[in-house]
Amino acid sequence: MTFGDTIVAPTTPYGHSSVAIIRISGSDAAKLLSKLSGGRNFSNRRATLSSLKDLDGNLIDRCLVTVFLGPGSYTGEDVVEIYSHGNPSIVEAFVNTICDLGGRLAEPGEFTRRSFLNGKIDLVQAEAVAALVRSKSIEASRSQQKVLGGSLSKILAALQSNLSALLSRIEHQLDISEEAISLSEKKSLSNLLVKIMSTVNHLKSTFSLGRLLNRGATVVIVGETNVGKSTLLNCLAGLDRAIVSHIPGTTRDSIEVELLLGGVPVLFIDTAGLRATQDVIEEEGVRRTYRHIKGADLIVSLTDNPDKKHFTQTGKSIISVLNKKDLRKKKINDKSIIHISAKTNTGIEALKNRIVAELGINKISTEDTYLSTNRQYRAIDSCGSALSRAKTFFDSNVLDVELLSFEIRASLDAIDTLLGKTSPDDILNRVFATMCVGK
Amino acid sequence: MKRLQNKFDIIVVGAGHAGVEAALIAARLGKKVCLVTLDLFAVGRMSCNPAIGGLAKGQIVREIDVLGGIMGLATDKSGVQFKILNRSKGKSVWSPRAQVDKRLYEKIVYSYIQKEKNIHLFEGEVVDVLIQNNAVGGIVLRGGHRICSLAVIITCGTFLGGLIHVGQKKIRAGRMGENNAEGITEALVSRGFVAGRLKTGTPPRLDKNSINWAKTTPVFGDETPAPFSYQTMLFDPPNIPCHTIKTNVVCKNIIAENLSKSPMFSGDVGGVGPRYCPSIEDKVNRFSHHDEHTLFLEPEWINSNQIYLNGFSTSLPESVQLRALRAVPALESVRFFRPGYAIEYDFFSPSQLKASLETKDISGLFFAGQINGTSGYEEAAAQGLVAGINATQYVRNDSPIILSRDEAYIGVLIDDLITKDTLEPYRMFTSRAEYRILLRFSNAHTRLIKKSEKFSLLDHRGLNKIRKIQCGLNAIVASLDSTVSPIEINETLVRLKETPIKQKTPATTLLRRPSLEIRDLPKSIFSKGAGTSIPPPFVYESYIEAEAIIKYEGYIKRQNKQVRRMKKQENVLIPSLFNYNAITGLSLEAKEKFSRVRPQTLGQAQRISGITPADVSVLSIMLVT
Ligand SMILES: Cc1cc2nc3c(=O)[nH]c(=O)nc-3n(C[C@H](O)[C@H](O)[C@H](O)COP(=O)(O)OP(=O)(O)OC[C@H]3O[C@@H](n4cnc5c(N)ncnc54)[C@H](O)[C@@H]3O)c2cc1C
Ligand SMILES: Nc1nc2c(ncn2[C@@H]2O[C@H](COP(=O)(O)OP(=O)(O)OP(=O)(O)O)[C@@H](O)[C@H]2O)c(=O)[nH]1
Ligand SMILES: [Mg+2]
Repeated sequence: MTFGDTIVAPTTPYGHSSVAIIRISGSDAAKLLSKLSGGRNFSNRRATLSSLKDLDGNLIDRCLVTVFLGPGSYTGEDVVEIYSHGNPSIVEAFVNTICDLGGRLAEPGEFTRRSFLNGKIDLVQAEAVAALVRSKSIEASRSQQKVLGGSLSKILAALQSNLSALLSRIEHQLDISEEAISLSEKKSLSNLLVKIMSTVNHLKSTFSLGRLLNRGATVVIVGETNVGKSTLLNCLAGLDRAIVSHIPGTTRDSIEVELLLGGVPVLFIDTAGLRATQDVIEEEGVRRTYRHIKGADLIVSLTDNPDKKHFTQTGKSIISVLNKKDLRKKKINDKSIIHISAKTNTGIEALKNRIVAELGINKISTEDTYLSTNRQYRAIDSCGSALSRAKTFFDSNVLDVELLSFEIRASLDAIDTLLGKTSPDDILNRVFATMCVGK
Repeated sequence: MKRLQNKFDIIVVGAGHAGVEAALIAARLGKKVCLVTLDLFAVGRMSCNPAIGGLAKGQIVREIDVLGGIMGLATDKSGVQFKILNRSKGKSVWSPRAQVDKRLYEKIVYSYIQKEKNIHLFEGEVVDVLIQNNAVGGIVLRGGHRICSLAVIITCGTFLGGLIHVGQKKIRAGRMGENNAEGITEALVSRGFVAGRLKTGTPPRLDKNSINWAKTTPVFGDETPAPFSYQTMLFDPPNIPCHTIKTNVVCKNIIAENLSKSPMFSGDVGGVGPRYCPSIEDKVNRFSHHDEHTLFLEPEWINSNQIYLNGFSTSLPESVQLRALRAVPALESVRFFRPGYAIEYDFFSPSQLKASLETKDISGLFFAGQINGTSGYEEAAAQGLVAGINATQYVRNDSPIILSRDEAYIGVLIDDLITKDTLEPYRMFTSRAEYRILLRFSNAHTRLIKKSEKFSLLDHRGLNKIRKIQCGLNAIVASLDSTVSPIEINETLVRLKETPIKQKTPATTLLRRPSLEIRDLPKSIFSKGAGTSIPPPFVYESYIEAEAIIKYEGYIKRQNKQVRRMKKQENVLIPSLFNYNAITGLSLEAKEKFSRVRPQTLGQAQRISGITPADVSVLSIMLVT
């Protein structure tokens, strides 16, 4: 990937639409536009109606064009945006002509990458751009807007400056010839470290909610055959998605429906009922059920008989639900179990609320800042473990100042990588490769 | 005096700590060297404190020693007390320091120079450098005489445009009592070099007989002293104490009232001074809440009447210095041999140098020592040594010796000099070395012996002495693989508040416990003659080093991983004529800095002050394609 040449890509998806946007970025962006427009002048940041022509002088489209001069543009370079009629052949003609004039088709994420390289945004902001494009709910996108606006960067910058201050005080100890570190200084350094650790631990704990908000959760409906799993899925989805019948073993393939609960995309999976069977197809279905259980964030265990045992699995959160309430006269007093009738649609709200609570969705606030990518979590995690190791030096009776400083440096490195300050190129490539072309 | 020859391989200008190392190593490597200096009786002179080594600097002296320099040897022969500093901290930051007999030190250095047949020592003042087609060709002396050579190393210390301040009094000098030098700065600036001013200070020298010694506290060196040089096989130095006293509030107030009379404060001194070795004016001003400061009374030589007052560097008028000191217990009737003073001098911005210390623009011209903006004997000697080796390599048309940041403090020193802006005199600190866990004083031999051998910096005898020490060290480390049984160690473990062991345990495992030291292990595990081949002065530190190797193993591994990551960048070379202005993605500031400094590798580029990671990313992308 070179930097310094001029790149072009449609930023709207392929297909027919009312408007398509083509974006050009690089030092030749304005020159290319001038060639397309027959030498017209454009003022900065003003949408201008213009007839744009190909190399042979044939009109490609008459449309709006805006020039954003660098460094005040998205990428920090000169950027041109063409708002053409949303016809794939027009878009293609623009892209081809621009490439013929010396532009190059952009790679995925290349516009954002340039923005990063030009220092317009840091790496967590770049990740927010990608997440914003992919986000499935207004809550998720609001949360990423905050990160893009610098909320996470600000927290990290404060962390960084506290760590640097701590480090320089520790390293100062290495260079004063006074023999041992004084008790009061030791105490004060230790307090500062503890304070920083609590920030890091808090940040680390935000990941579960951040991941939930941005990537959603998976809820698997599990139970014996014929207990009403498919009926429940249809009822939750509000549409007739899965086949329901009185014959046990109806569902073989798992069936998925995604619902937004409190802004979080929750994937519900209806599975083949659990029972021993000779039927090879049903057997495969049961195998798949177990596979889904493994990947589930939450399991809804369904029965239709209060005497039957609920599905259990250690290490997974499970909600026990008793179905077919409408068939029973007796009231059963067991608060740990949710009573519903999938058929008559009773108790479904209570179930939904339990799911929301169990997944932690009710704890999400768009006012908070969350870690949302694995990369972010890993960096904060390694920062945190370096700090815990540092803490042990204060707890032991010998204070190895240089090992202490080694760990603080390691924690700082983790933050630097997170912001992209010292990221090796391969990390950059990974971050930007997940984006789409045109971003 | 020998007749002046007209053609040398290398001319070294200045016989301070940088100059003598440069001349000696080049001569030993077989080059014909002309060493020109202002005063034949000031060769290897210690301008300031009578001490060598100290935090981070002690490691440098060890490195100089493995690389064939003489500073360590001369210190071992002239030291009056030896002490390892930072003992309360981890073993990787322990640093040896010695107080020396200044006169003896000079004498020893002079004798090394005299013994060297390839050195022609010569008194004179160099005023210009001969340059043709961007290559150096020799020097011009005051009076117009020219001497030709293939390479020139400039090591003029504090002498270029040197101006001494004592209160309002100004004296043109390179050191008190020695003339300054003029001409070289102007000559080089006219050829495009960038020069600036820096300043430094020195404390007064006291008359021993005017001090009330009963009111001072003596401080001795170590009982088992460690030498600096691996060549020192027999070591039984004196252990002469220095003495400490404390300043008081009266002294503080006198200084505070007279701050305006200090040229360092009144803005009369142009250069920027060091932050870390502050003058007493600075200390009073910046730490105004401290009423007391510790001062050290150090003899300048054995039985010297002249006492160096460490910690009281000043440029106040002599009368104020006296009044302030006479307020201090023990100094009530103190007399001076010489007042403290400040000196300002020219230096050349070291970003004009390659990592070999050759100037980027004039081939064959090298700068070393205080002229590069550093402060300190050890920093100067280290650069002199590197410049001497590399001038030799230049004459041979061979590639230079470059030490990396993970290999030696000298590597850190030179890399910092050529990449960081010099805003104040540069002094080495432990904290400047990010890979300091690898840079122990006790493993200088392991770190550098290969390079030393590659460049033939030591003769066979010298190398063999070091190898013997290494063998002994390896034997000690190997014996730590043996196991220790509970009865041998549990009593010790209980005493150290560590959990006792239940079964035989490898010594290495025990040693990893934080409060256990190698001396706590039963002697029996070392019984198989481990370490017996080690010369006596190095036995103690070899055990310490063995302990560090085991205790730090995990950290050493992690640090080595960081080093490998850094090396990736270090191996990306930047062409010297690279056109930064043609890269659109670079910020204006980066373009300006890169064009000025012209880094040789991507690693250097990254360390230039003010360069952002984004700039480095852009540059790295341009270099790959
Ligand atoms: C007043 C003062 C205070 C100091 N305080 C401290 C301190 O507190 N801490 C510390 O670490 N260091 C201090 N130093 C610095 C320390 O002395 C130097 O860093 C070290 O000596 C520098 O070594 P050098 O070889 O670069 O130069 P120097 O030791 O200064 O030697 C320079 C040599 O070059 C010769 N020379 C100069 N110009 C010419 C010429 N034109 N032609 C021929 N010969 C020439 C001189 O005769 C001299 O022999 C101080 C120095 C001074 C003068
Ligand atoms: N009365 C009553 N019947 C229900 C209720 N829920 C499901 N049923 C009936 O129970 C039978 C089985 O329903 P399904 O939803 O197919 O059950 P399943 O658990 O998906 O069964 P398999 O796919 O075979 O594992 C159907 O006849 C449903 O109509 C309920 O709440 N009340
Ligand atoms: Mg079903």
